[in-house]
Amino acid sequence: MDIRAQVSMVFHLDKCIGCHTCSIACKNIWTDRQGTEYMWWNNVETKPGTGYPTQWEDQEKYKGGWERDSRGRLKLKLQGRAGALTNIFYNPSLPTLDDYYEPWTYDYKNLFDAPEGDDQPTARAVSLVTGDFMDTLEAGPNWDDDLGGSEVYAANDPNILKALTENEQQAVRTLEQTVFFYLPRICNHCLNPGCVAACPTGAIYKRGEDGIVLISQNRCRAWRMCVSGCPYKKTYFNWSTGKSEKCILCYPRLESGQPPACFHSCVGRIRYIGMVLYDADGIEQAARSNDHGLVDAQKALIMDPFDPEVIAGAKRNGVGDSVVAAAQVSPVYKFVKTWGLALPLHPEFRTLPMLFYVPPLLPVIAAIRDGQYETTAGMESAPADETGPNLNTVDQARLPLSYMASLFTAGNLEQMRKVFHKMVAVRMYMRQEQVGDQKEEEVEEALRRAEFTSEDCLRVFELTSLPTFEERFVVPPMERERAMDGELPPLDPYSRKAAGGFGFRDAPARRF
Amino acid sequence: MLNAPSRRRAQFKQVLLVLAAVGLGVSITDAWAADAAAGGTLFKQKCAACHTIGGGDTVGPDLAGVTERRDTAWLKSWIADPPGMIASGDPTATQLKSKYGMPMPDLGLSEDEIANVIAYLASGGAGGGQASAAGAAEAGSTAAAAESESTGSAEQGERLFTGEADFRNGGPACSACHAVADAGGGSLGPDLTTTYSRLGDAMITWPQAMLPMQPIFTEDPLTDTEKADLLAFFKEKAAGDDLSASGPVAMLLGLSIIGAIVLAVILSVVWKKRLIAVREPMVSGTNRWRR
Repeated sequence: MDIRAQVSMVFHLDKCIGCHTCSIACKNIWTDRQGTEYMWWNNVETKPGTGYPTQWEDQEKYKGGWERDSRGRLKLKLQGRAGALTNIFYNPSLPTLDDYYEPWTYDYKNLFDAPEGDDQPTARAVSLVTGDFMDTLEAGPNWDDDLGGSEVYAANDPNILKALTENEQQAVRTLEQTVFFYLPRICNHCLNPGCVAACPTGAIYKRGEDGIVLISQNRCRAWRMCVSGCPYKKTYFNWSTGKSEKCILCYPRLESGQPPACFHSCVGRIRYIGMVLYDADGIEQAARSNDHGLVDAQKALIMDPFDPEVIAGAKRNGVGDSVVAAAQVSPVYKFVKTWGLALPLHPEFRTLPMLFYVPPLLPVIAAIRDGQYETTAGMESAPADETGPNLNTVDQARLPLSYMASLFTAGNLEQMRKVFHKMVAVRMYMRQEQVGDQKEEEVEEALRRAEFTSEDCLRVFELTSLPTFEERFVVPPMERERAMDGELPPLDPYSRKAAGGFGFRDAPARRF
Repeated sequence: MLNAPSRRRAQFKQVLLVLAAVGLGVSITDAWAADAAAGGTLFKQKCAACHTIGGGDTVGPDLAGVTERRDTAWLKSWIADPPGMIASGDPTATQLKSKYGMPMPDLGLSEDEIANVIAYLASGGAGGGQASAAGAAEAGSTAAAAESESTGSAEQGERLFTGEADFRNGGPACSACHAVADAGGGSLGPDLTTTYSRLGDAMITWPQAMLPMQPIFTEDPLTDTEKADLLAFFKEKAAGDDLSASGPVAMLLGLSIIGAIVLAVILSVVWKKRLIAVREPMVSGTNRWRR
């Protein structure tokens, strides 16, 4: 056992309202510099949709992540060692700027300075890359927001193309059945990161004490293999500094006891952050599992933080008491391990992402009944006056289960159905508790099917709907340089604020 | 009868002639103090590789009348240390270097030897007697000499060059230091493929005249037959290289262009799929939902 600590995350997609506040918080703090205009370390996508960069999930195009060779060994989809050498000056699989979008601002000055004329002055779009006026804007980081242009964007969602049959696709595009949800994405801070493996310089590393994946701005040599190697396309190349950059999980904030900015600012309170203890010895084995076993294998890596053996192993590796204590109250551990509600995004990329998603329990099939739009009308078992979840909710969901399975379980439908059964059980139980219009035996059946007790349902409800700030964000005190065991006094948040800002700077050599 | 201006010109010429005669006399008198015969031998060993007396310019200038063109003191310092003179920015030295394309090497002559050589030059090549005649002949500067020596066997020359056949007096094979197209060889000395077209038959005197070869081939000299064979070989090589001689720059340019095109074609095939945009073809593509 090689027990290490990882700061891990859960996003509850049922709570996401797609407001992009997280993206803006991140942009304002980290990527408002020259060369980073097009970067969105945090972005929110509409699903079904092609996302940012366009069709990033299609690894036949972008060659990110890992695959198994004929002997079951892991290799980067991008290239092997020989390929890395021959392509070193010529990275073959990069998104173009057009695949992200050409960033722009507006010529606001014209609104004030325009001479008197017949027409209202306008603020024309100005490219942040070339500085030229842009007459037509053709792409943006959330161009397909809320199913905009869905006949192109939703139609080309790789999950739709890959996982849905022609009939299912036909059903998805009928108006009454149209549905979407939001998928906020940041760096997953994977256990088996493709970006780290692809970097020829060794500039990318996974921080020992909390597993945050970082790019050394001093050592980066701009080969951009990480951009290709990351299947989530969450490393970006800064054209101004000539270095690659990525989400740093706001580690300066974490070190001063605050959650990352996107977590802190989240309006829907969908985000949870907490420590987990995992067994690093099992990483390779887990990443080599069969597609359908990937999620379980990854979950098996996350160890019980109350197990004395695990705690002893953590101590051997220098994991401090405060981190172990934080892992014991981690909301992530509860969602992922205790309840089994949260799933990794695209586990088939085999990077073992440590950002987990509670999938959205989408509305069930609607139909027009007596000229009225009825959200439950499509269900044969549902009487006209009945609302709310029931035992058929999962199978009547507007998006086929295979779509969700393509996103979260590498196509394992059973696993996906199980998670939805749990979510339905919680809803039915709580509705029965608070409204009382459910059938007793159906609630019992739902609980039995979900393998949940009424106590479980209450806990899930509490952490989903009523969590406090401290319950959502369990960040242990991290004294980066000196100690991690909590023996130091709490830190002043501003004591760690660097004077030089973000970027790579060496202190000047002083003679005296 | 001559008219007045013509007469005056004739008189002027006479005066010039007298002055020239006096000047020549002085210089000859001065030069005779040194040993022109010894100078002749030296000329043959050291100078004849590049210079002739009355045979026209070869590698270096024809030295007939050089003692009249140049001041004796200048000649002495020039022969003693040509690189030094060029480095010091002497206008004549610089001009000579640029005219003949290469600097005269430092021949390592003593002061007495320099005086002897100058005496020999002042004598117009006569003071050396037989030596000078031999030198002139071996310098290969006359058509007759070239004719007589072109009777050598190029095949035997190649064997001598590559070392397949030994030199009779035991000198080392040329290819130890020099290369010739196709035949190969060392890279210590210059490539001799086209040397013949620049130096002509004179090149064969270099082994016995030029450092660093001079000490080796003075001890183990080449025989006349061997020289003739080698010359025939070099001549053949130089002629065979005439194709490129028509314009090495043009050929290089042509090869570069062809090479660039070939490379571009290969790369465009190998890297055909690089940086093919995803968004643009998707938006303009046919895979869209239609009713």
